[in-house]
Amino acid sequence: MSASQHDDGAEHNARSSRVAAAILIAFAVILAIGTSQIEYAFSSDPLGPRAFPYLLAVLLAFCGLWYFLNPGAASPWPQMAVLRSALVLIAVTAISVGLMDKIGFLTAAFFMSACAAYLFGAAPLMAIAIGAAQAVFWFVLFKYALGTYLPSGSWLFPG
Amino acid sequence: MSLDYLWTGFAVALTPGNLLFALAGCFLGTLIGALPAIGPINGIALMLPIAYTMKLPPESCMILLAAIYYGAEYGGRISSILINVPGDAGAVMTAVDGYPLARQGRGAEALTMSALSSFVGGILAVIGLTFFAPLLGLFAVKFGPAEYVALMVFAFATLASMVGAEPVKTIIGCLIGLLLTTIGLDPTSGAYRFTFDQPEMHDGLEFIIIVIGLFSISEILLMLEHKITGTLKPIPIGKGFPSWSDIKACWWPTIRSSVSGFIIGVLPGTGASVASAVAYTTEKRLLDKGTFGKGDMRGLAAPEAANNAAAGGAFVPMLTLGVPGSGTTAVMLGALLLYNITPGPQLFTEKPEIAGGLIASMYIGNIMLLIMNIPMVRIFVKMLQVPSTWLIPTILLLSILGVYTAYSSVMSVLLMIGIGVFGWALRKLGFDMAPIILGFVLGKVLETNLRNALALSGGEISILFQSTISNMFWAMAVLIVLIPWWLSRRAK
Amino acid sequence: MLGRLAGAVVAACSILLGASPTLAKPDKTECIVGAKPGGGFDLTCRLLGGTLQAANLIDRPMSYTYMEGGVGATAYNHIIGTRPGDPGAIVAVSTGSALLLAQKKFGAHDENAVRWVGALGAEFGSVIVAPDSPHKTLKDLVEGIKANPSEFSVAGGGAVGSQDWMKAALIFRAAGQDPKKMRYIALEGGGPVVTNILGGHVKIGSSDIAEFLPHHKSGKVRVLAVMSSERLTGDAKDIPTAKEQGYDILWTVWRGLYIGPKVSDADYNWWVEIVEKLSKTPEFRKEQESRGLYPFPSFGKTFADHVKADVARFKVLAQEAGLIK
Repeated sequence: MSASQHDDGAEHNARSSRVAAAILIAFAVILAIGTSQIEYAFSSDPLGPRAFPYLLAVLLAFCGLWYFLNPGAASPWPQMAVLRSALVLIAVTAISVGLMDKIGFLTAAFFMSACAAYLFGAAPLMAIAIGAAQAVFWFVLFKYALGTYLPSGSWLFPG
Repeated sequence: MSLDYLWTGFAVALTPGNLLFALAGCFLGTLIGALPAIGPINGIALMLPIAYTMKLPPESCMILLAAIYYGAEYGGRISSILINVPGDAGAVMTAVDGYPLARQGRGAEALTMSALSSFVGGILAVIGLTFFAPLLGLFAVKFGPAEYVALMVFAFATLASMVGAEPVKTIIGCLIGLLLTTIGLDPTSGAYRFTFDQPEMHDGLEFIIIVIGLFSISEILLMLEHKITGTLKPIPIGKGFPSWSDIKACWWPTIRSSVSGFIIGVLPGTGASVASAVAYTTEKRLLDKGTFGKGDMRGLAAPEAANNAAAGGAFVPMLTLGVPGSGTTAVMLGALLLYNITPGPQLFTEKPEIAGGLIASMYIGNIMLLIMNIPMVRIFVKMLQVPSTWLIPTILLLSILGVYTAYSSVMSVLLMIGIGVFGWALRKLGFDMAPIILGFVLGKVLETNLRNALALSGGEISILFQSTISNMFWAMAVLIVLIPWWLSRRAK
Repeated sequence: MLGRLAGAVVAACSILLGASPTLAKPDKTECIVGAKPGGGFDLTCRLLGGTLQAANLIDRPMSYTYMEGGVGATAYNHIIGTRPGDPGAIVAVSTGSALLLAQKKFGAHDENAVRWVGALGAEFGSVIVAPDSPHKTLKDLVEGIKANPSEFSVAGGGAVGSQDWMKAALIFRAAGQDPKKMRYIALEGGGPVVTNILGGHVKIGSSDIAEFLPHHKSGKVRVLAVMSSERLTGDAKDIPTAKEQGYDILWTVWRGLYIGPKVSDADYNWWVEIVEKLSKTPEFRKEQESRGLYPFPSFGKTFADHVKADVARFKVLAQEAGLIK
C-alpha cells in the first residue's frame, strides 16, 4: 500500500481502536453488573465468587480508558470484499452447525467445506467435489474408525 | 533406591512385542497430537478399551498408552508450526515463534529443531523420573494451596516479558484470558458464574474451545483476507536442518525449560500448558532482544522442551503416590486399576516389570520418536504446499469436530466460532493471542488456590508466606522482574 | 430400521398375547458419558458396554459419547431435548447428579423428566486423616471438632454443596457445628484430597472409599469411617462404618443409568431386564469389583423410587445446610 493510504489508514485505525476501547469499557460495566447478579448461598473463603470478576472489571475499565487515550497501531480495516466473504463463510458455517442435529453432520460438513473451498478460489464444481470429499472422509474417520457420535440428521432419518 | 527395577524394565520393554507396541503408540500419538481435534486424553480413552479387549498384559498396555501420550506431545507441535493451529493444549506456545518461522520459509528447520528439543525435554524427564521419582513425589505433596499461589505469582511475573511495545494490549489480553476462566462452576462456593443457564457451560470453557476458536478460526479468516487482497503467498519449504549456531543458541534454553517443565509437570495442579507458558515467558524475559514472537528458534525450543518434560513429570505422582499428575495420567491410572494394580512406591519393588517397563519404554520411545520425526519432517512440511482450497476446509472441519466430539453439543461449536470471530477482530486491532491463552492457563489455578488458601487460614494473608517453597517462588518472582531490568541498565 | 420394526411387531404381538413385560431390543446401543473421559460416568458406561458385549447380550459393540458439563446436566438436557425417544441411547448417572437436581442446579428439568433404568453398583463416602493424626476413630474426630472447630480444615473433591462437602458437613453437624463455618478447600477429584493430607495442608479428607482404600492399605492415610449401612467386604472389611461408631452418617454413591422420557415401554423394559440379568452374572461382579464398586441391586421402578427419594432427602439436607432456601 502507498504512503498516502497509510496516513489515512492510521487515523482510521485510531478510530477503530477507540471504538474497541469504548466497547471494552462498556463491557467492563456489564461485567460488573453481571458479577453482582451471581447467586450463591455462601462460600468457604472470605473472598467469595464475586471478588475476582469485580477486580477484573475494574482493571478492564482502567485499561480500556488507557487504550482509549493511547489507541496505538492497528491493521487497516479489511476491504468490503473481505468483510463480505468473511460474513458468508461465518454465516454458512454457523447455520450449518446450528442445523447439524437436523440435517446431519454429513450435509453440514459438505456445505461449510464447499463454501470455504469456493471462497478460497476453487471453481464451483471443484468446490462441490472438495466439500463432498471432505465431508465423507471426516465423517467416515470419526464415525467408524474412532467411533464417536455424529448426528445423522433428524430431518433425513426421522424416528 | 536400587535400579534393579529398571533392568527388569528394559528386559520387558525390549521384547519384540512391546517394542512394536511402543512403535505403534508413538506413531498413533504423533498423529493424534498433530490433529487439532483430538488430544492425548481422547487418544488414550479411545485406545484403552481396545487394549483391554485385546487382553494385553498390563505392562504392554501401559507401554502403548504412554507412547501415545508422549507421542502426542511430539505431534502437537506440527500443526502449531505449520498452520498456527495448536495440536493440543501443550503446543499453544510453540505456535508463537514456530509459525513465524514457517512463514519465513524455515518450517522444516523449525520442525527439526523442535523435534530435537522435544527429545531433550523428554529424555531429561525420564532421567529425572528414573533417579528422583520418590524424592519428587515427596516434593509434590508439599504443594498446598499457598504454594500454588506463589508459583502462579512467579508465572505471572515471567509474563512481564510479554509486555511489548504496547503494554496495554498485553494486559487487556491477559485480563480477557483471566475473565474466561471465571466462567462456570466456582469451586469454592459452588456458584455458577456467567453460565447463562447453559449446562454446557457449567464446567467452564474448555481450553480447546478457546484455543481452536482464537487460533484456527481466526487464522482461517486472516487467510481469507490475504487470499482476497492477493497476499496469500505459497511458503517455501526451506532446508531441513537447523544451523549449528541455532542449535547452540537453543541449548541452554532447552535445558532450562526441560528442568522447569519437568518440575511443573510433577505438580498435580499444573501441567504441560502451564509448563510451556512459563518456559517461554522466562526465556523471553532472559534472552529477548526483540526477536521473540517474530520467529526466534529459542522461543520455539523452550516451550517444546518444557511440554515434553512436563508430560514425563506427570508420571511421578502417578507412579509414586498413585495420584494422577494430569488428565491423561488419570485415564492411565484408571487402566492400572482395571488390572487390579495399585500404583505407589511399592510398584517399583513388587511389580518392577510395570514400573520399570514403563520407564524403560519411555527411553526407547523418545529415541524412536526422534528417529521417526526427523525423516517425517519432509512429509509434514508438504502440508505447507497443500492448496488452500483443500487445506482450509480441513482445518475448518477438524476445528468443529474437535469441539463437537468433546461436548456433542451444537452450542459449544457455535461458541467456538464466536470466539474465533472475536479473536479475528482482536488480531486486526493488533492484539496478540498469547497473553489471552496465558491468562486463561494461569488464572484458574491462581484464583482457586488463593481462595482455598484463605479458606484454610480463615482470611489470614500470612499463610501465603509461611513455607520455604512459597517464599522461594516469591523471591524468584521478584528476581525475574528485576534481573533483566538491572542487566539492561548496566548495559547502558 | 427393520430390526426396530420387527421389535415393535414382536412387542405388539406379545401385548396381544398378554405376555408381560414386553421387550424390544434396540439394534444399536450408545452410552452417553456426561463428562470427560476417565471419570465415574465413563467407568459406568464402560462397565455396561464391556460386560454386555462379553455376555453376548448386545450384537454390536456399544458406542460411547462424551458430553461434558455440570455432572451430567448437559447429557440430561440433551436426552430430554434432542433424543427423548431414542431407544438405544442410555446415559450414566450418579448420586452427584441427584444432589444437583435437588439443588435445582441441573437445568430446567426435574427428576421426573427421564426413565430411570437401574444401578450398576455403588461406592460409599469415607473420611480420612493423616496416619500420625491423634484421632484414631470417628468419635475422636467428632469430639475434637466439637472442642475446636476452626482447627479442622477439610479437603474435598468438589465445590461447596457437592457430595464431598456434604459428607464433611454431616460430620460437622454430628459435632454440633455449623457446616457453613467449616474451613473447606475444594479440589478437583479425590487424588488431590490425598496429596493434601499427605502434605499436611489439611486435617480431614472427604471423598469415596475406593479413592482412599489403596492409600489406606499402604499406610499413607488412615480411613476413620466408611459411610455405608453395613461393613463392606473385601479389602475394606476392617474399616468400621460411621453407624457402628454411633453416628447416623450414610452416604451411598450409586452409579446408574437412565433413558429418554419418550422411549417406549417395550424398550424400557428391555433395558431394565437386561441390566438386572447382567448384574447377576459372576463375570459382571468381577468387573464391578475391579472398578471399586459394590453391589447395589436396584432396577426399574425400585431404582426410580430410590432416585426420587434421594432427591427429596438431598433437598432437606441442602436446606438444613443453608444451600437453598
